[in-house]
Amino acid sequence: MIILASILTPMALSLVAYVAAKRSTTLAGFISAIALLPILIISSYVVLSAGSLSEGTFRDFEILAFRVIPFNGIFLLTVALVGFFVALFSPPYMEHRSEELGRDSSLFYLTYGFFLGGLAGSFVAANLISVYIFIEIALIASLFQVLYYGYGDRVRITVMYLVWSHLGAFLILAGFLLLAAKGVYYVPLLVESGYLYQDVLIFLLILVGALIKMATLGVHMWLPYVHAEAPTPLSALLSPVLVGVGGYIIAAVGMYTVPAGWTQWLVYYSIATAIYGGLMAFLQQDIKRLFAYSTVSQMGYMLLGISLFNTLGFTAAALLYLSHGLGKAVLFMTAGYFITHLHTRDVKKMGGLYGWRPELAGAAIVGFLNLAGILSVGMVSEIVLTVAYANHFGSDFAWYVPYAFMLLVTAVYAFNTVRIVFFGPHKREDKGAVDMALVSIVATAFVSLLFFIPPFSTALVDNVYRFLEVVGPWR
Amino acid sequence: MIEIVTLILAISLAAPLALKIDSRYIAIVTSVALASASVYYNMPIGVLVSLLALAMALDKSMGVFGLALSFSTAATVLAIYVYYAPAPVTYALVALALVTASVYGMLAMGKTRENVESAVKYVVFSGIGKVLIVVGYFSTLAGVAEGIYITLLGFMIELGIVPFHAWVVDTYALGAPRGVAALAAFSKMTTLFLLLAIVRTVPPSAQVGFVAVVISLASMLVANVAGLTAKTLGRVMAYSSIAHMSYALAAVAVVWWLGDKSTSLFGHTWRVLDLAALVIVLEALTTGVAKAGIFSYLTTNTSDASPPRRSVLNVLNVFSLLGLPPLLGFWPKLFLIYLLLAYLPAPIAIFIIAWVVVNSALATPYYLRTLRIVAEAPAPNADNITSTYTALTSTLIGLLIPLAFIYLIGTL
Amino acid sequence: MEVALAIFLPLAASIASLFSRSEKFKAWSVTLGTFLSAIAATYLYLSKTPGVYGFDWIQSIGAKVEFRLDHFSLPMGTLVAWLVAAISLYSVKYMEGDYRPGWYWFFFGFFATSMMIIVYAENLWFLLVGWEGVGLASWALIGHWYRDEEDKWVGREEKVAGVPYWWTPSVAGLRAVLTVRFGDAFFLVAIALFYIMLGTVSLGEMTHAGALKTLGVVPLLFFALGPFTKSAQFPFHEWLLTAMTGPTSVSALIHAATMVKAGVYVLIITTPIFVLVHGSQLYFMVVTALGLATAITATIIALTSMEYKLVLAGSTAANLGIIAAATGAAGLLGLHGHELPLSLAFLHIAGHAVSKASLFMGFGAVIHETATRFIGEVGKLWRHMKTTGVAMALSMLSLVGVPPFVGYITKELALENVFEVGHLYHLDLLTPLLYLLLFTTPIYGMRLIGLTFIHGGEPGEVHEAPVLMWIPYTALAVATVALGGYLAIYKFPLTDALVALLAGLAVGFALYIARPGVQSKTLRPLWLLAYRRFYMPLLYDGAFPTLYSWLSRATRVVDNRLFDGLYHNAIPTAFAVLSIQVRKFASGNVNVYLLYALIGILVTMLLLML
Repeated sequence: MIILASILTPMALSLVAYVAAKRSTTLAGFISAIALLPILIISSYVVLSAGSLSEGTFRDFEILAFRVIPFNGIFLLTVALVGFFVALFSPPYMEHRSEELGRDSSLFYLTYGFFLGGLAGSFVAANLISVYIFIEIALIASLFQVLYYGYGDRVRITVMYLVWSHLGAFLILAGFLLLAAKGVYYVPLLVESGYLYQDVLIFLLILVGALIKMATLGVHMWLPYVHAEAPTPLSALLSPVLVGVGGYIIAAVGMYTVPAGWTQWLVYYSIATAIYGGLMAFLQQDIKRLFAYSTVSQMGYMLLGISLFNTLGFTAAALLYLSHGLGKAVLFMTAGYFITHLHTRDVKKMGGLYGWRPELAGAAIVGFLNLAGILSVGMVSEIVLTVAYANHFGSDFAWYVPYAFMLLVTAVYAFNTVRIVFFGPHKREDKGAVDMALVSIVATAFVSLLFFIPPFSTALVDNVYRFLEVVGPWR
Repeated sequence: MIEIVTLILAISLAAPLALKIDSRYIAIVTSVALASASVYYNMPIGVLVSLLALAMALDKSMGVFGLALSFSTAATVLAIYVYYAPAPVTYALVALALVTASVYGMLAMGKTRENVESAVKYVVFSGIGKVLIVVGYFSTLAGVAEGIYITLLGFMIELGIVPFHAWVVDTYALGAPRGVAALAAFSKMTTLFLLLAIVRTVPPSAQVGFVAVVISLASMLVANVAGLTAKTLGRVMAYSSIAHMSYALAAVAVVWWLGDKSTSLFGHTWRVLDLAALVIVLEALTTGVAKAGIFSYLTTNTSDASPPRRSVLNVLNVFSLLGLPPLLGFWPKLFLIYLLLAYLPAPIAIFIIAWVVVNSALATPYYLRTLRIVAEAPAPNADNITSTYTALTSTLIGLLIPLAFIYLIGTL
Repeated sequence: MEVALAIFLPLAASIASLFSRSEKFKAWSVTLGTFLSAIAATYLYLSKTPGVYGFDWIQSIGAKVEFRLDHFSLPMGTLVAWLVAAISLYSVKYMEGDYRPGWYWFFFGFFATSMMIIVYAENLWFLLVGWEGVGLASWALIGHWYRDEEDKWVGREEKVAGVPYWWTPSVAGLRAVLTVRFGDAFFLVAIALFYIMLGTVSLGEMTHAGALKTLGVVPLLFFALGPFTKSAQFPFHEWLLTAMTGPTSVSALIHAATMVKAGVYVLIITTPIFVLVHGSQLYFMVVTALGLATAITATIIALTSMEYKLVLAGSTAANLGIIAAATGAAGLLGLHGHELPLSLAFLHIAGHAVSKASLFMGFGAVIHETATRFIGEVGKLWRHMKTTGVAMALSMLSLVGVPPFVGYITKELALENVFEVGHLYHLDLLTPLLYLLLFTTPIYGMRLIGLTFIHGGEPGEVHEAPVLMWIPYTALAVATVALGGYLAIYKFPLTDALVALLAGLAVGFALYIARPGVQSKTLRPLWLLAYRRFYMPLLYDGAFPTLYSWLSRATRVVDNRLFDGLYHNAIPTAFAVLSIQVRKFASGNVNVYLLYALIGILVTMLLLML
């Protein structure tokens, strides 16, 4: 019952947070953060000690079957960590946003727990149908947040979000149902079933559905709108955490039916996505849209890890989820801090902000380092991804050129953005405020650095790797 | 059976009472009686419908129209009974006639010009439909080959399938809101249960099935596209109703066209036709319950006017109509897709699945508009017993369905 | 683990420095850290316990935290640690009152640790950590003066062919990090390939890996792109020149003495492994050729530049080129059965580092005092800054390679490799080329000294640098002589090359010290070509960014028109139009409705007949 209870805790406590938010936003933020501690404890136990937790018998059609192994443990850990820090970050922002909108923040905190509980559930649920239901819970909860606290034409954005995400969800569901029709009720990776069988239809349904969720090239168009207009704490969760669910589903379910020879095309496609997103991010003037396109790019990296279809590739995908999660959370929270204190999202109006709040600049740089794969947990994932890539392509040396270009494109927008936003002549004389938001931004950045250091990075990579060697679909 | 018929007779005899007392008390008594009868006959759907009528009766006085509510509830329960008992189809035909008459009355409840126009359109088209159903059904029984086709035509008109749909829009938009609620809940449900009863007794026809598939697929698309720019609550819900009826018709049409077979769902073997029946029952319940909740809270003369008060609970009903899991409206769509999966790897099955999925996605914008119309109307909250009951039903039944399946598998 | 102390003490100190707002605390804690690290490194050097120490980091990719103590890492570590310590001490005064002390001191210590990791790392993944670290520190410190004040720029505000020919610190930082990142991407790929093909990335184990012979030359070339970009080899030398926007102490440490040396250092330590690979001749030839190309290009740039630091930066690139060429030549000689003469290349790292660090610090003091970065604006400093003048003259003589300074010996030794290769491969052009190089080098040295200390405009209020600043560079200047003497005991090369060198020295002396002001109109186009740095910035600041932004814009057009337009414009609009048409069916007219019904019946009948 531990897993189920830990997933239900944030949902249950969100009701408490709802009541608390009527009185104090800060209190509601704390409650929402604390509600994630059980998930945090479970996931870090599994990931760091190479343990595994199971609930349920996995016989017949059991809707409440759960399993945590290091692979999905990393996803769970990311959800819990990012959710925890974003909850702590949110009070100043939500107070600001509530004032603007003339609406209290209670609904935000009511849906917050459901959103994170749903996300966590979708990673640990073993039954395919319950995976789907958990995704839906997360989607609906986030839908309300966009509708009530979003920016711009909120309703249009909400419709866009709803249509796209449900199109994706429906395709995934159709794929799951086809699997269920053939007697596969559980996430293959979690029940260690090995490669199932080649099935074009099932694979395509799950793949396309999940790609819409991941917002890869061609089906990415909803993401910049939604992530830019969502309330920023939500963006900090949507962008790194929710979209990655698609990657998890491809890895844990879709690849078990992948037809022979298809992975090669997926590899090309994911590199194209990564480069495309990076090029788009380079030109954006709205900082949240910039980060949103950077998410598209990072999802290309993650998909690349999965489509390399080897143990290291899957390991890299999980690590990328973590590093992108922490890095992008830092960046979106930074954007939120700008919105709260600078009242702008326009990159052109920024510049020289290092002097305004050096700690913020430092944290944001760490966030970018995570994306660019330099000296943070992002570097670990980049290294593992590169080795997986080398393992796949061997001595077809021409293929390393687009790969290197992909890394360079990421570096270009990362360092260029740092330059435009934080460097250059001062435009402001005042100082940025020191508040809970700033503290959680710095703390998140710190965690991403901490995970780079041996005992942590060793456990993260090797535990996942060892498990995947046993349970992966390529046996 | 005899209890329900007796009850209908009793209501008729009690009619003069309506002139003396508020007839909603009659409706309250009737619905409680019907609910007990449904419990007795082990018909959970009947219980739900009766309780819906009870909620509507409790909410607000409706003068003599309480009597109409009683009649329509009794007729619906009768139709449900005919399907589940099973009893002769003729009773269900009687029930349909009864429900048409009473809903006609309720639509005109406000006595305004619009209300009357709405009621007249309803009774004209529903009348034509009914005649075709009766003629078609009896000629089928007599061995006339075209009989089943004529029956289908009747149902298309009665359910408002494109291109026989235009009256639905007017009726929903111009009728008295609580009359529309009764139309959506009782009239449609009676029709669908009649359809189920007929489907069970007549031999399937692949040709007619094909026609019905084509028409219902076209119908759901037209309805969902039209709904995109529909502005008022009444009109949006009208298109939603057409779309939902099309889903329901498609379920049985596909089985007729492609032939019945057995399929495995969650480790249990099903006849596809039974699955189609499940889709229709759940679809009837979804749209009836949700729309009854939405229309019953309106205090305006017609549902073309914007609601003067907001309702929060009806948000759940709208989501149920949209088909968000785990709400009630999700499951008929799921089972419809599952039914179609039984015909794999036929390309046509994939095509129909894709069609249904695209249609569900297409509907999102107008449901969201409904959501705003309902939830962003001026404060304070105007939720009443019906909206509470319907929201609860939409949610709880939605949650119960997976549990029922778990139970089902457990008992195997 | 003394080696861990030597490596991580500076980082520990700089992390500690983050927790205080006091500039003094930051400065002294990092300086203390670097000194302790230097002492630890010296202890290691003296106690000499060669071997490999460490533990597993990430098994699944063969990553280990391993330290290698051998005849390369021990002296290199000691040299680096002491240079860091000396420049740290210098910075205490030099950076006093700066507006961003937290950033400077953090990255200073961070840099020291990263550099020490490169020096001692045995495992290439571990080395990569230091490698990325120095790259990051370099970016951070080049852009240290992030407010982009004009006196921190490189170049004057002018445009050439539409391309801005001046570089603000933030732009220079970006330029540096992206160039280095380009190389690093391939460096990373190469290490990954080593792991996949050899099963290990520890240097020692790689030597014995069975598959090493069949590795092929392409991974080696990928690998070399890392050192090439980091060590500013042609055509990647541009970033190093604009890196002079950073504080002079940073230029001294990172962009002269240590970080840029990391590239050639890695080339040197991997040479014994790479000679075992079949076909590696191509790799070593490329290294040699690029090294020579860099040496010549950068020397000419140094000769014509109008900024103190740019002259020094050009000279740095030139010397890096010499080291690279010597390394490549050593590899080529190794392939032909000679014993690997790597230590010859290695020595020049030390020889150059000592003199260049001293020069940068000294000219830092000059810039500090005269408040200009342009040569010739203020001159005749000899009278006011005697100590600095002497120190600079000594260091410069060593840098340009005049005997008996250390620079002479190490450079001669390094070039000996190249001469040897010229003989071996019968490259007749190589010898005159090297003579030309040796001839040109002293000219820019004399030019800088002459125009700063002896001739030029009359200075205003100028004082000798503070003690804390001149001690480090004077000490290093003295060291050039001392080391030169020390080395001369073991080996004092005497070749024909000395003639070219002395001729250059004489010309330089004549042109810039004895009779300054000689100018030639006919040579002006050539001068302009060199002054514009062979128009390479047109590539890095013009062509590449323009191409990249065109690519981005093209992508944006696709994104807006195709995807956004299709999904969020075309499709919704089409549906809206369709929807309005479809809704017209419900016109309210019952007669029309009946007509629809009739049409419907006809359609269904048609379908029935199909």
